[in-house]
Amino acid sequence: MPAYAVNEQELIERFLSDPAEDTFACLYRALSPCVFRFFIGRSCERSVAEELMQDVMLAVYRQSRQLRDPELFRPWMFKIALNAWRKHLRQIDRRVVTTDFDTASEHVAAPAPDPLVRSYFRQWMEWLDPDERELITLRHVDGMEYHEIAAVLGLPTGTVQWRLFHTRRKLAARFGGRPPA
Amino acid sequence: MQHGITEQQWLAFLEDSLEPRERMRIQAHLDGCPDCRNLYSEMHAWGQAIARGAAKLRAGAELSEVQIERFVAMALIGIRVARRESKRRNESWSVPEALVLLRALLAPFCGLGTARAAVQLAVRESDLDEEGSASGTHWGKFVAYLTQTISQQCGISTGRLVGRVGVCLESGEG
Repeated sequence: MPAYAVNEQELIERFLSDPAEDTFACLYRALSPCVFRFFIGRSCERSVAEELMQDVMLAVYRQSRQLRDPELFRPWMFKIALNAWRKHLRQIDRRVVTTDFDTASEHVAAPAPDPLVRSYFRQWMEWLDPDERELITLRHVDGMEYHEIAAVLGLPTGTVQWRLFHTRRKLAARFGGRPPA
Repeated sequence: MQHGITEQQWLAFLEDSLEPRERMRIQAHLDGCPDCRNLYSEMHAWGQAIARGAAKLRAGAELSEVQIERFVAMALIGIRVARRESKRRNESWSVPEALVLLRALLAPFCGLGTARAAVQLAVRESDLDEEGSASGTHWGKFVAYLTQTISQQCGISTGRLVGRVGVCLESGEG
């Protein structure tokens, strides 16, 4: 078990046995950064990530009685986050996009505000299929264990490992065996 | 699987989390197999590159303590507001208020006298506490009796209407 998880697990157990405002506030302080990172790791704008994080943490508070096993808390919470993210993407897809051609060129020329936007990591993630991207993000950005990823995605742990390994091979085949530093 | 090494074993070997014996077996194989050695160095390099990229991304996604405290406060306010709303929604009508409403509702259908008598009969039959709130088992019995009586006196559709209103009064939607 990673070192960070010891204190975190204690807070989770305290909250689940007594889901009151004070135990929730402690849990919120410990876990909201992970949830925030979850959304930022999926190229979400900061303000949207903050909003979605708040929604997820409130859903955790409201739905905590559904969860019996504290060991499953993290995958359960990330599943809520993943559902919130997918819902958000669906909402974006439904929006009608209109473009003002007079001002569009200004937007194209404007520099990207996020210095990581053109990083190699972003390029690799953009090139991968959504499922592969999700796996890499859950494992490396969200720092989840294989069994936790399996619980979030509803897959066997062996399948998660198999797919992660082949995603790395796919990256190596596309971008070369020596990735840039 | 490549050369008797599964993907799970490859990952565990790359992350240095294999059992010592298994690790030695794979290491011995790599020493004699250029293909697997090449695969290992590629996978190792990519594992490190991904970890570096992810670390950069994580570093750019920090929340300050002040920000977290602000969000905690907002969440607690949200919880309290939702609780108050839920309590307000769940507040039932008091029995005297509910009876006045039911009498007023029934009067156009069967006359004020019959309405009063039907309500009074249902109160008696259900042992309804006339000082309490329009909720619980006795309220349920009261609504059932009244629905039955009104169905007989004024027709099934009026009886159904009474039943629905009784449920709404209990859930505070009246």
